Amino acid sequence: MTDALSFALDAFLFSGGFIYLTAGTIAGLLFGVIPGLGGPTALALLIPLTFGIDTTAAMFLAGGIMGAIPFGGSVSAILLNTPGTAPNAATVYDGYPLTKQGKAGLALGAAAAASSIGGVIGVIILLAVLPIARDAILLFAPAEFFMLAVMGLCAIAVSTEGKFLRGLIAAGVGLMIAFVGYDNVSGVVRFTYGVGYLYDGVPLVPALIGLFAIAQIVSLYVDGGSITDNPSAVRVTRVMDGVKAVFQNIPTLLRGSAIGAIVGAVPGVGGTVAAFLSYSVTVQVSKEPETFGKGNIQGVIAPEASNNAREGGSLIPTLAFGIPGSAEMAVFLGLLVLHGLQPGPSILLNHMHIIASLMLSIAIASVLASVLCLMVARKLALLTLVDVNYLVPIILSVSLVGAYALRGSIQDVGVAVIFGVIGYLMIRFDFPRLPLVIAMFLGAVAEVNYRQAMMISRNDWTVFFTRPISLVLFLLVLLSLAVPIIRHVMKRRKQAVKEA
Amino acid sequence: MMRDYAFRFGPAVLLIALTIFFLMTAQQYSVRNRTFPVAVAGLTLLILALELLSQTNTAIGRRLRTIFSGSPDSNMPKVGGNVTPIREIAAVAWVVAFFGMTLYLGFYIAIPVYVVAYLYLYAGKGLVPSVLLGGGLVAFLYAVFKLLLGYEIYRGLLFGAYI
Repeated sequence: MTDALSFALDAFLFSGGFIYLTAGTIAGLLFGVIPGLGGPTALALLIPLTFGIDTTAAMFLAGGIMGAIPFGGSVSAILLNTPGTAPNAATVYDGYPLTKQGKAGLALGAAAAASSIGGVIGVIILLAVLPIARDAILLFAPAEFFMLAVMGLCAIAVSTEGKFLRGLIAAGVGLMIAFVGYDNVSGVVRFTYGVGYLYDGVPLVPALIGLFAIAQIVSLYVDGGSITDNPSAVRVTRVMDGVKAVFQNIPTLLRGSAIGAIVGAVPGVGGTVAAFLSYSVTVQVSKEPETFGKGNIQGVIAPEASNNAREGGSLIPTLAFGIPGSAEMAVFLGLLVLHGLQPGPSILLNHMHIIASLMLSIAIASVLASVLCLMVARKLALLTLVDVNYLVPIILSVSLVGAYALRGSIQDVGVAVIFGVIGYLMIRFDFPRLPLVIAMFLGAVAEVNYRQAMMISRNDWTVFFTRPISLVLFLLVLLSLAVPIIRHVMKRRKQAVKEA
Repeated sequence: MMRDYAFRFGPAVLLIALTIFFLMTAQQYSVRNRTFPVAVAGLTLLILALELLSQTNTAIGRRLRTIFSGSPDSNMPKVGGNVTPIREIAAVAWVVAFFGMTLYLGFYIAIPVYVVAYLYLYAGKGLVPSVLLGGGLVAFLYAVFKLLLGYEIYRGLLFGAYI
């Protein structure tokens, strides 16, 4: 690990890493500030650009984006009452009231410091957990990997609040798409319907560009107007008071960071839950709960720390097991695959320097984004006043050129357009996109491991229930599927108690 | 009323049809090669049936909605607010038209034509900013992809490119 970190530091200082990181940070800030775009879109657009560059440089670029997006989103949340990304919604509760009181600088300063420190804490937790994960992963055989893939899919479907069935349906469809092309075990071509282009399967990155970037563009077109119509002249002063406020509220900061990193590591739960959980715990333990929602600085610190710490947490399942914990991580997996890296044991054992570069870049980007953003916060916020009609052609053009540039295939552009339409329909009919994307990634993993497990056990399916880790994972699958029923029963009991 | 029904049941019905088609296709492969896809498609079909049932106004439908979505009123998509189908079709049509133009004319012609057409004709922006944005965007993409990364950008079927 020390060698990997020194390699990363060397690449950062002497091989152009700093330039890529800064570029990624600026891109992340811009995409974070503009509501509706966010991390998956930014990463999906970035992937084609990394094709011609070294993998370590690509990690610095991606790390810059991932580290900067959360704070970019908090700028529009605090200044314009419009969260840039979903997890920043919790920051709005106290951030915007502070702006209305003329304390925007205080809120931004606090958010910047909390984001920076939260991001660094998240990476430290990742650093501590990865060596353990590396040893633990060696205990996993095909049966465990199969169960883990199933568990990842179920957990993500369950986490789509109020859309449990649709989450599972999206996962099923994603798996079916993943079966298109060469069967990884027998080499037989399946479900291509005579289309030669599909022999290698549905290309993931163009599909991701479609599902996130193009679908978002269609959505912006349909909604029209500008993202916000509140051009209130915001004074950004007293920034240092906000930074000081973070150091006066260390327990809030540490609690928020810990919640972010832990919740982030659970696939599918994501940053929004982490930020709101962090916020609500802070309210519950506060001696002045009535001041929250009216401009309490702790209400900014807690969700912001949690939001950035989550990045480190969500990399744990992504890197160790190849189970992406969020849409952003799913797109990031696409980036790894494009650079010939297979998440899971091989990346942990053979490419630790790449992971170290990523961790370093996320930690530095968290701090760099805060510093950069405070310098230009008000100008960044003005971006949200831009008429979306200008954004639509720009993002669409970049998306399509990006989809083409990956393999120089115009069919890939067609795939991006088709998935763009599918993505928009999913938004329109309220189907979550995340399980679809994750299933497209996990389809091959699940099938290959299922068949290998069956071959090793000579077609004895009890192999999935007789090995201890596999059994535990199976029980977790059952538990995750039972969550809606448990929730329903508990709700009824509560109601009955209330009525009694 | 018809639109409301189509909105509620349409996606599930369409997906059921596609899943059945997938299952039928799977039958042409050997048992070993189709076991896993068939299992996935079968389970998906089962969940789709539950979803379809949950969209009905029957007692079972309400019960399913309560269990899986938290309340009997949730998870019932309605024909949507300010969004008209024409606007949605137009949004998709712009994307498809842009792709079609790219296919035949290549990116370097399609991008400025699309940007100017979209901004000037559809969005009602001035001609000068539209042309500037279109030209600037092509210049940016050329600089990034061609000059910086060394990619050859697609030229279009009419200019010698092939699929």
